[in-house]
Amino acid sequence: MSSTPLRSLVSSASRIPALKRASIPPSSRYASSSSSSKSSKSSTQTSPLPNDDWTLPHIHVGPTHPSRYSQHYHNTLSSDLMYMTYSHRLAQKPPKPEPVQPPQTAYEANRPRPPIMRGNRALRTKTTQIDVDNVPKLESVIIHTMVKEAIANKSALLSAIMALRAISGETPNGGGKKGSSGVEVIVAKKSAAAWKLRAGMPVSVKVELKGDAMYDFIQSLVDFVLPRLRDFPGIPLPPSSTPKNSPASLTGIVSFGFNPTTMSFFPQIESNTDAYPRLHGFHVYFKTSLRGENAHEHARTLVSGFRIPFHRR
Amino acid sequence: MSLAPRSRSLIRPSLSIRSAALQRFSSSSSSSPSSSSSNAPPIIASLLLSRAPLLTPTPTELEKTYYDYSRSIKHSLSSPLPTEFYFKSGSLPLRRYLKAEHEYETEIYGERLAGGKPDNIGDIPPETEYEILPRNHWEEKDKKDGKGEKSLERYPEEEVYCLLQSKDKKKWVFPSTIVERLQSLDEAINDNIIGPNGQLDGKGMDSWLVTRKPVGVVREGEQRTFFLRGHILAGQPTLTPSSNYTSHAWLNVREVEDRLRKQGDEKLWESVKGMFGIPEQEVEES
Repeated sequence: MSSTPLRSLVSSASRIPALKRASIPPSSRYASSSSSSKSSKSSTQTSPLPNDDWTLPHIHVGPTHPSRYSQHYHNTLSSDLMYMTYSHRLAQKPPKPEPVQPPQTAYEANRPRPPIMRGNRALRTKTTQIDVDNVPKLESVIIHTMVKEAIANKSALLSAIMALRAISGETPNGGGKKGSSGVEVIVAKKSAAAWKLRAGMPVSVKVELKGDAMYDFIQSLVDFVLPRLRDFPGIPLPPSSTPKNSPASLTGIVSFGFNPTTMSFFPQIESNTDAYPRLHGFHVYFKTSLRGENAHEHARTLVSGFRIPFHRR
Repeated sequence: MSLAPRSRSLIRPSLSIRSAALQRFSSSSSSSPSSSSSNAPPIIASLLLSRAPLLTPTPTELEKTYYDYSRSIKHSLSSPLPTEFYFKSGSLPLRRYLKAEHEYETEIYGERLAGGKPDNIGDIPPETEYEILPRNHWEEKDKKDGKGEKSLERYPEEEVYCLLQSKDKKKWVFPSTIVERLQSLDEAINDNIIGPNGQLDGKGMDSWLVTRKPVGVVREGEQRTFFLRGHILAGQPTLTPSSNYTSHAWLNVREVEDRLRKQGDEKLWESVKGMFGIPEQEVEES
């Protein structure tokens, strides 16, 4: 299939959240429920309200099903993770005094503070204290795809947008949830003449999943995709020579990439692979609540609890 | 000689460090044996062996109703599915989808809003039928086999814990062992309880210690019992004749509490209940 129906889909889908927030004329009140031709017929016959100034109230959509992996985390994983990552040494250490903040000027008040620098580096990230109230947990999962062809041809992004939308099922503020940003197009920050890239060009697509949507993504990844990968030994661990103090080891983010064929194993994509002009490789970032010392190891422990295997090269 | 440094050394020391420590401790104890060390009872390592839940909890009536309601709200807010993108025209999946969609719309909006049946659906062959096991199929199988409390599939929606019945007093206890000199807690557990020659006969079961750190301690005067956390992954414990136990049981939290309270171990239950996720003091709200 060509990219023409894709384009119309992408443009039409972006209008939907606007429709939900704005006041809707009575004739289209049921337009969102089913196919529009049928519902408009029925709504003209009987309108539930006489006036036209009726606006759609704010509707919050709660969870629609019990989330398997979320329950697995809360019932099985969390207590083990607390015991595994708890540090007696850290718990017995008296809390360090907060670094002295320089006095604030009127300009600086109520503005975000710049990091306190030691030399030309920011002070070390504070290690997360693990206790009963603060068990390592997943904050969000980010799926990210860079499309190289988009530098020359912007419409190459459309198939990536559609694929991520099918995998994640996210829309901006979908279901009245604040903070779900939907599929976003990322523009280049810097120019790179070698690749004919200029700052401001749309080059990649990402989507951030939180809450139950995040656990549902993990479920489809772990139950449908990973078992069907050919010769898949697991996610490669970083070499043991990786410095323990490097910024990447202190952030508690586990990331790995997959090749384009992997995308076709998602059941959401598999049902109509022909509709996508091409499939894309993608990166997955598991953002955890861990920071500081051993954050990376503990984050991997958490991720492997969701049946994602790791292997040493 | 104090026992504190030993329990605090959580990281397995390398062999050279251990041999040095052995030398130091043995020489110091032989030269100046302190009175407290000779009287102090040995440390006991105990294992809280559990099986994780096998099934997700069954939603209650309220939860089920709420999920159904949210699903219908979500359905009514969602934009119509672009069928020309996801299905080939006139294909079987499309006809299946249209039929299912119409049935669901009739269910949540009623006949009038759902409209008439979609045309040209035609005959739809039934989908492959899979055998769906009922949620209590383990329970029924155990009843048939007469496994009783020894079945590892008891209470599939809850966590179950291993308790052993001791030979002499017929009391239900957690599997435990004495920690030898300069032995770490996890070594004692691995060698004497879940190892191949342990009390539970590790040859017939696959188990995993969550961490080498103790997750709880019970003090009775000078006596200290440290609890380690473990999970059984497969198999069954078989009690060796040399062990001091007659039988084992997989019990959920309520049963563990009942059994300990009935045999007069109220004090023990009060000190271990934190490990089962039960708060120390019930918060009374007036």
